[in-house]
Amino acid sequence: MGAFNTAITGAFDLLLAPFYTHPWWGMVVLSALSGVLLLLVFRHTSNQRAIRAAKDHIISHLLEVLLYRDELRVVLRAQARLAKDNLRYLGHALVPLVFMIPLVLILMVQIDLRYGRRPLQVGERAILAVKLHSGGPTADEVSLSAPPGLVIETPALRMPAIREVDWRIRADTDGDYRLLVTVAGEEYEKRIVVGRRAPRVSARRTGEGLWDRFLNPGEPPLPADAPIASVAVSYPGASLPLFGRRLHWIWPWLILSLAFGYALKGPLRVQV
Amino acid sequence: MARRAPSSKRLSRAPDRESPRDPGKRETLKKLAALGLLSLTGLGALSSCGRRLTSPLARERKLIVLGLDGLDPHYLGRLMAQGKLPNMSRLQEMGGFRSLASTIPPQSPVAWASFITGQDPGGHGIYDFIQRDPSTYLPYLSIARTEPPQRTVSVGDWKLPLSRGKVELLRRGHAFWDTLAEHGVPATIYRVPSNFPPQDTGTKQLAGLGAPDLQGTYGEFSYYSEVPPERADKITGGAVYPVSVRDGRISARLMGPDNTLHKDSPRSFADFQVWVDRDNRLAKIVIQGQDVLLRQREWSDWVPIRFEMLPHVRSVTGICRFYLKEVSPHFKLYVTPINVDPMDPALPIAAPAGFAPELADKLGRFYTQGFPQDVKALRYGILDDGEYLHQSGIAFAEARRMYEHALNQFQRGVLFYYFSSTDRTQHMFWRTMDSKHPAYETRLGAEYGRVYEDCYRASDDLVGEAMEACDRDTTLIVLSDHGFAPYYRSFNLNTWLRENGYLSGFDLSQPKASIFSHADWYQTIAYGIGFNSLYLNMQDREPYGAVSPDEKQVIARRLADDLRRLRDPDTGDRVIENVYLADDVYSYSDDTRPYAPDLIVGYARGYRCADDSVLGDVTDPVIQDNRDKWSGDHCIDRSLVPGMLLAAKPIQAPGPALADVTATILAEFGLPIPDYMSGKPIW
Repeated sequence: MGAFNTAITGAFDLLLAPFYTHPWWGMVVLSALSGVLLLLVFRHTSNQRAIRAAKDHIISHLLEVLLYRDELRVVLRAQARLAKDNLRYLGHALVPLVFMIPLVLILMVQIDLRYGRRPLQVGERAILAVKLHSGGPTADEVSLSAPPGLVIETPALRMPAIREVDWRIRADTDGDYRLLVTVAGEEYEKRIVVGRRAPRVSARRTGEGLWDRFLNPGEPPLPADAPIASVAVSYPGASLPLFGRRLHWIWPWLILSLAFGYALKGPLRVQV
Repeated sequence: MARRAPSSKRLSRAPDRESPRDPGKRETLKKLAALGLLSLTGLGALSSCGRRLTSPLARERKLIVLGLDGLDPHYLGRLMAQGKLPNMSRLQEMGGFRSLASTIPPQSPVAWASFITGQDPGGHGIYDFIQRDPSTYLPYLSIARTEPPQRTVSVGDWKLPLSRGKVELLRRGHAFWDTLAEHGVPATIYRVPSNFPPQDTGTKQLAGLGAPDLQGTYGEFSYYSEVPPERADKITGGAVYPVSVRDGRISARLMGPDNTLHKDSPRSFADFQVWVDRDNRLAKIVIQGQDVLLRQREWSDWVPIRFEMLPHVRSVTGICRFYLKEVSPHFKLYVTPINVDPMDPALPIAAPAGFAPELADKLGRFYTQGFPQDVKALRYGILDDGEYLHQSGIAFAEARRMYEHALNQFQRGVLFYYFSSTDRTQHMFWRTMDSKHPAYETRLGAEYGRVYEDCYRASDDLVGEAMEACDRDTTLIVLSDHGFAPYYRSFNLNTWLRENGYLSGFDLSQPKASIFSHADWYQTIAYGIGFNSLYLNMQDREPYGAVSPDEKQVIARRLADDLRRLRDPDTGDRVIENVYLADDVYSYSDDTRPYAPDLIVGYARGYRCADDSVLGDVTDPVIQDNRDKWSGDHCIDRSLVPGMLLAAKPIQAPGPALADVTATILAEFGLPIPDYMSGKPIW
């Protein structure tokens, strides 16, 4: 999973590198990419001819209903066939859906990595939370050290019931920092970005199961034998500005990728 | 046909290309352009007619008015003489410094309403913090009234509104900024009292004193403790919740506003958890996906809280700050009153509505309740003096940041900015600098004796900032609505009325009773509600009136004389300086008359109406020492607590009053003073 995450994240970094001047540029590119990729997956994993046929049948049954609306028997039969062809049409979409879901997940994870949170600003505070594996070291054996530019404001808050230790940190200077979490003599890094316009912000570094690692691709996973399960920073949520309002990335991405998909299905010759 | 039927794009481009070659068409176009211009000019003139008549001075002059609630001219003069207020002294040298006559009574909602409208209380209808409804005798807050939706439909347990509820400003009269706007002079009004909800008449306004918290009160705190204070059930203005730590964790509930969408209107709430580390004296509050980690004796930033009204459909958002008072040995967590979130206001705290979110976007979230200082928490010992000062310091820092922003943005017309911290500090800390006060302690004096003076010094800094923002076209006026006096002794007006036969129906053996549940109204001649208001129980006004209109004058004068003669049995001092007959001092309008008191009690220096009596209670004894932390006051006779006036121009008026400042603002822009205003320009 580590290599997969590195490759995918690196590819997205490369793709978006020219568009960091404004967050909307990257969002437009990611939405266009999403629209195109999903159309292509749909075309190559679906039975295009059968979908076309199902749509034609649906249209013909609709016409039948309109033309023979005075003949109840014909209308009822047409409606029954309409329902059947609708189901058939939906059935043809099931197979591509199976292929599209992983792609959508990858896209969403990568977009969230870039648009879900923003770096800390100078003077801002965040909580750094270390989760320990059960049966491992206790909360008293965990310590934290910060480089100049970051200040650890509190002693450790120990929550033995959920095997978690928290600190409050404050950003004092712009920079890209590495905090060191020390557990039983072993050191583990956690990256923290302050002030600068970072291409992506990794809120959580984890060493737990595959799924958890897939959802947190921003940093290399923790070693499998590490006594800590994850290290997380409570970065503030990010939003996209639009006419004085702030939007979560999901809305522009949904709308724009649908718009791109609709606009490009003709040129790409995709029956949807 | 080919020319007449092209697309609109072609039609708009064609004249440019063809006009040089076609003189006839060019002439036609010229005529059309001239006609269009004429129409536009005509429309412009029509639209301005009757709406905006630009004052010739509007473009030249600017005026900054700084309102510092409760700044006392006598104390101020002393500090200025000692050279401790350099900016104010400089302003005095540039222009002038005077005492400023306050209203009858000298209370902030009354006085600032007079400043806003240029009228006496009879004109604007705000007579006291607390007034009574003549049809029910029941008290209400005088500035605003909230009405639920008139039409609703019931669906199961839910009560869905079909019309909007209403929040109504009870202040009557025309605000000076509306007069300015009618003459093309823009104004921006920050936090002036008696202006909730602000009326959207085109002037940018942010509500001040009178704006409630999300619960609709003047501020209701929450306190979670393993060792709740004694008599916690007697606390008003807040609620105490006992909690216990289990497995390092506390589960609790933050109460929100009433859920008016439910048929029983239960209170909405937000559950939260607190993780406690007693050894390291830390706690983490986890609420609605937000984590707040605090050390002992630390305040949090603003935390937005969503209260669900109709699940997944309707919720309201408020903001609060957490204060981790103690972790060890006992857990104690204080939560400020839940303020309206300026980013998403659930109540109309600004006009236009977008003004509050605009400010929050630029400056961050801020206190929106009219009284941001948590005085109730201090009075009941939930916060100690140092903790209260820290909290009020946070509120002041926020207000100051907004003030600096307002000064930076100010370009034309009038800027008004108001600070309440001066008033609150003097209310709460008089006891630390006056050894005669019953609540004075030497330790307090040593620790907090300078707070009072520091508050004046901070005000001087504010004046300095305003002076820096002034250019040669800008005039600066600094004013307060009243001064301050000690509050040594509490006078139970209703108890005195009962003992002197004016109020009937009470069982004298009862330690405490309320006029609302115990009065024999048919035998009651007079009753007190509010800080200075005294009402006759009139047959032609109250439902169970005992005084006929013919008797009114005689009874009112007799009662006034009785009160004026009153002496404190313990000290021999006069308790009451003066009693005013409202008919002699107010100019009513028809809709403000029924709510006016009949007599206004002007207490002597050192005395004030007891809290119990303000709310209609009857308690023993008639007069007692005031040992409350609320130790300074101004709800006395207006001659004893004038406000102050400092201006950058020489003040000609020998004894200016608040309404004169209103007249001056209009005169500064060359506008006529309306007949309904009682004031005259001060220069």
